[in-house]
Amino acid sequence: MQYSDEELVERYGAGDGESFRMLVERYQDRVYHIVYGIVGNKDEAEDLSQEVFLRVYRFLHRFKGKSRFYTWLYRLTVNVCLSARRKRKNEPGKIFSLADSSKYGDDPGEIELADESFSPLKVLQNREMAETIKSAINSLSEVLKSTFVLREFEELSYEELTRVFQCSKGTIKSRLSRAREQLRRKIEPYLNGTV
Amino acid sequence: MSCKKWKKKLSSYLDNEVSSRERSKIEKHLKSCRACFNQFKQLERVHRLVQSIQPEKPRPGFYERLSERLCQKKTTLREKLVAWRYGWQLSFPGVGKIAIAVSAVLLVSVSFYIWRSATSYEVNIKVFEEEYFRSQQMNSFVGELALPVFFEIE
Ligand SMILES: [Zn+2]
Repeated sequence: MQYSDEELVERYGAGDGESFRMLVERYQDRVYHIVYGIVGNKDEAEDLSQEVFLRVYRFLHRFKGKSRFYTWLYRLTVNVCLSARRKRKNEPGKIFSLADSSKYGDDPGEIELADESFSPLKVLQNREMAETIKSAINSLSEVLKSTFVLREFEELSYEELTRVFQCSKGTIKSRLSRAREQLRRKIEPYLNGTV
Repeated sequence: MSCKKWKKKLSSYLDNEVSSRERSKIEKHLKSCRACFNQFKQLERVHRLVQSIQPEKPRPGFYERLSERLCQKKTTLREKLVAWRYGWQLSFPGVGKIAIAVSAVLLVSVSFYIWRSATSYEVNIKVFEEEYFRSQQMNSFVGELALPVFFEIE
């Protein structure tokens, strides 16, 4: 039987430790994907995703069920990412620069577009394109990036985004519009000949 | 309305997050304006490209690594509790502790002696000796207790 998120939260509150595991396993990929989208590096994504669930473990009793569990979880996720970034920026000698992180240096081979064709040239072009897009996303400001990532990767509605970021719909609209316009400008030179 | 204003609406239009009235206005403009239409097509392409990026997944065993970290957190919490309970012992070195115990015992003994000498002029050496002997035993007891609790506090 498949429990809903809310049922799992309730069972966890009643002392059922197994439901925590089920929540983690249900959301680990999504949380990781979001975190990776925001921080752009695998080691940090692993570390921060775990930090997210450590906080879920500690603070789940504070979740009152006024909103859906995942909007609460994603709010926590964004908070963890943004405060980690802020901390990193403030660390002396470890100044976070967008230029550094705009290159996905760790393993470009694993970043691929879903591609049905087996033409090596096309795969190569798609890989390059994926690289370009990822570094363009990574160059966005943290706040634009997190909003964009939750919209594009998790397909959250504007209503849900206002709950995650605790802001107005107008702010969400403006952030997404700016994020997309910046991406479009960065990717424009590569756009000819794709899809 | 200027094109700049229309262009700002294209993102919400793409997400289908506009009212039906606004939608038909935007569509009307897109039919008549080449620049906005091209920009919309580009935004659509960017959106499709972003959608086609393979999601990153964590390495297998994510939960196991997480529960390891959870256990570590619990241990350090327990350690902190124990450290707090024996905190006073850890905050003084062994010699300091003995000094504190000795001065406390001496203070008690001397007050006792003064009280005794004030009430009667008889000096009871035997009581004093017993008191002193007891304080020696206490010192060695405090010293032993303090020794094994030297672990690192976070
Ligand atoms: Zn126009």
